Amino acid sequence: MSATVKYSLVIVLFLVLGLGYSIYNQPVANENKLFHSQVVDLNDGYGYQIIKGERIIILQEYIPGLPGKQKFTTEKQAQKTANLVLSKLENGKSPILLPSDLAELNISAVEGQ
Amino acid sequence: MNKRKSYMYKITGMALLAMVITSCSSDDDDDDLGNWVDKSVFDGSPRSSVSGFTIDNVGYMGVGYDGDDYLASFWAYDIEGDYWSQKADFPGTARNAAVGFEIDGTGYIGSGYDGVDELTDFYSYDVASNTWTEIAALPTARRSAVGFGVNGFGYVGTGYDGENDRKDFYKYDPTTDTWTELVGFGGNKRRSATTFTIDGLVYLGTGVSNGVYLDDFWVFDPTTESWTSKLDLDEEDDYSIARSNAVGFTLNGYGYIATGELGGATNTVWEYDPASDEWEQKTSFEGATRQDAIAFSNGSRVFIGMGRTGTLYLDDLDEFFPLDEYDDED
Repeated sequence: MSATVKYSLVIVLFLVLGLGYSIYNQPVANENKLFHSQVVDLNDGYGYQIIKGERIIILQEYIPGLPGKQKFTTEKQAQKTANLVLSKLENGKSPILLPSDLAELNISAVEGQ
Repeated sequence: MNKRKSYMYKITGMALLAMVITSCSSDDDDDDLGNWVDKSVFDGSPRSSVSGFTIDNVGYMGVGYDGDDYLASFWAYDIEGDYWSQKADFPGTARNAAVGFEIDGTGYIGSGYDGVDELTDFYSYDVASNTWTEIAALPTARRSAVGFGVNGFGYVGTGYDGENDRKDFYKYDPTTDTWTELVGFGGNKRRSATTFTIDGLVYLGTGVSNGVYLDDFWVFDPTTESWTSKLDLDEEDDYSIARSNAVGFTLNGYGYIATGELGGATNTVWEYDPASDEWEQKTSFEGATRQDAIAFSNGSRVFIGMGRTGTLYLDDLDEFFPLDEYDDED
């Protein structure tokens, strides 16, 4: 093997190292910015969590905005509420649920609570 | 061959050196201590002039103004778990510039501004049941007051009543649900001042009145209910502490005044040592300059976020590490 070949091998090696280094240092991939939701079974009711990438950002064990600790009575209720929060976040809006949002989702305080 | 080999070693060495140099950020020993770490989760949910309190390891914040609407929603940030939950809505009129404080594990939010009037109504928040209860109203309406809970009582004072800045203080007794006037604050009237509490003593400073940023600094001893003047906030030539709409918090025995407004939003941070009555500048807040932000502190960790800069309302939250070297990549 000639010295020139060896020399160019070293150059190639550095190019590869440099490329690897720059890939390694790239900002986190886009998947980590995506939101998704998960319904949580709380035994006597349901809640939900909103996840960004792999990180839980909102954990909602009780119906948001309502006083007391009222859980969602059905999985479907929790899911559609979480979906509304997701759509707000995905549109760059605040994740706040207003009383009017809950009314639209037909979610109200349980009788007697 | 040997000659070429040594040539190659030289190239290799220089290349490695170049890589090491470019991958290290330069350290500057003149930098102020303190590091900020981004904990934002509230993207798209800007609000300023929110009110809140920290109970155990949970920071509570609610009400506020997002640039269009006065808000009533109320949120809890779990410091350990690093997540938020939306809690029971604040039951009073949506408002901003209210005060929030904690007394023995119960949170309180009241007074403020609903876009038309300065307000007097007050509410307590029970963490265990996630419920609000209206309590006795503050005797006189105001916004941009200071409020703190210490020694089993709540105190609210200074602020703006719609016509004048105020210097009066009221004391709330939760056992009798009554407010009584507390005399003896020797400072000037003001709005948008800041407090922090170290070892049961409450320090009050900053704020603005008639366009003048106040530089007096006070300590309140709740056992004697007396105010004592401390060294002014412009005592040293290099102090630049005076401002309004700042946040105050306590961490590891030191007090801090951070962000705020001084002819425009600022992001500077000053640390107060109660033993020497002296201030030291720390690394400025990493996010955008801001005023009307909120700080959550459980005494050992602190988070600052929300607020606004001009008419841009902010939605981020950062954790502050006052003893760390600044690192701009976290």
